[in-house]
Amino acid sequence: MVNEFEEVLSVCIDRIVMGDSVEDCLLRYPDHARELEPLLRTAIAARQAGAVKARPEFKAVSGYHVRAAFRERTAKHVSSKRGAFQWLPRWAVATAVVLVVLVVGATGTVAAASDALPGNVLYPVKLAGERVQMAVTFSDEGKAKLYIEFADRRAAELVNLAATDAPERIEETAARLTSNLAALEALAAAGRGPADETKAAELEQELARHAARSLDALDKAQTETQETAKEAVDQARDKMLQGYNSALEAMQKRGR
Amino acid sequence: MQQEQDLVQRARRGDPEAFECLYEASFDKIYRYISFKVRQQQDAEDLTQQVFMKAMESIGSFRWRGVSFSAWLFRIAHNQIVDFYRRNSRRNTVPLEDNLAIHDSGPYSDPEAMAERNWQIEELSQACLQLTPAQREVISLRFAGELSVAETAQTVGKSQGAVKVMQHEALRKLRQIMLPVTEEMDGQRV
Repeated sequence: MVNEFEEVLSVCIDRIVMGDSVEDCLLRYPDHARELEPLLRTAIAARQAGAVKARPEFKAVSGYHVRAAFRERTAKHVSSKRGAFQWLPRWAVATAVVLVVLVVGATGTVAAASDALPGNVLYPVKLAGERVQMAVTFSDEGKAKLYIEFADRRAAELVNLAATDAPERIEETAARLTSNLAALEALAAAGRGPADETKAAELEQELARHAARSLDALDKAQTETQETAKEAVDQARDKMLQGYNSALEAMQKRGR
Repeated sequence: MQQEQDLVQRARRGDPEAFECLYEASFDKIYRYISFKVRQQQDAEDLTQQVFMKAMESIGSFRWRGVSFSAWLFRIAHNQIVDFYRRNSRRNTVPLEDNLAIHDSGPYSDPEAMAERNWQIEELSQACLQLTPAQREVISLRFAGELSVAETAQTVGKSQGAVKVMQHEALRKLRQIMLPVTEEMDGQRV
């Protein structure tokens, strides 16, 4: 049986988790203040003990692995339900997809989509095109180059979005950028990428150049950022910096 | 809650963006909850990833039967931790060395303050070992996982009233065990 004090304590704990201070709670329940105070101080200690944050690079890499596994699982599920096309070998399906994209591209849709920004109706076409490009790239070196290129595109989109009043799109784009860089980092961490040391060093330098150029461009764009999007742009910059640093670090380790 | 239900339905149909949203919304809480219980960064990271992999594999079987997605996810986390301790039954101590990195900025950003805080956290971890398993679970879910009483009740399979009673008892006991520590921490805001 819950007594009144236990109800009050529970409410106060919820408020503390939301950021209220002990004093706020005591003022709200003066009749229980004496008994509440020591317990709420202990609650604060418990909350502080639990307030650890994951390493951002772990969060990014883990997110990449989980997303990749989810996509793979979904793809397997879909392929097991291919029905009428089940007799087709995978390479034939991939080729057909590429042909469709090329045909559609010939009509100008994909070409037009290449400049699309998040929020634009053609933007999903741009992302779909990238996924196809990645799916038909089989070498680790090719994949690494694509991740760098896609990260560069996301960075360019962020620069364009920085002057708009669209913090959600900025956050989404920053998440996609982080995802591309995390994929590159995971590739390097697994010891994959260019087989040749010189090529690996060139790729690393290329990434460093892209990172410097993108950060510089975003810094310049920040002067025109609207107040409502300022926080999102600041966070996007932090993520960009962190992502590039982690990917570079992984590539450097791989080169050693 | 409605948004969470929509996301779960979409994820069950194989929508990767929906699953990504669920992942983003739950990641920090699950990581904190696991860290609170295993106290080693590498183990916490491995277990966190395992939880989401497991959730991904099992989401097709998830049903809304009075249990929210968060509660379901925390049950997976709880089970993973139980398995982890079964596999590593020798690990019944909580070493200070190689403890969880605290990535907070602010008052704990200098090494001395961080070491002090780690020591206080360690005291609390040790004090928690003197609680009953059920009390310890409630404290972990409420303070590290930031679950509501209702969600905690769903996760541990008890009534909300029982959870309120357990958290009261647990806090009272913790207060007695670590009185000097909490006095030192008094005055610090969350």
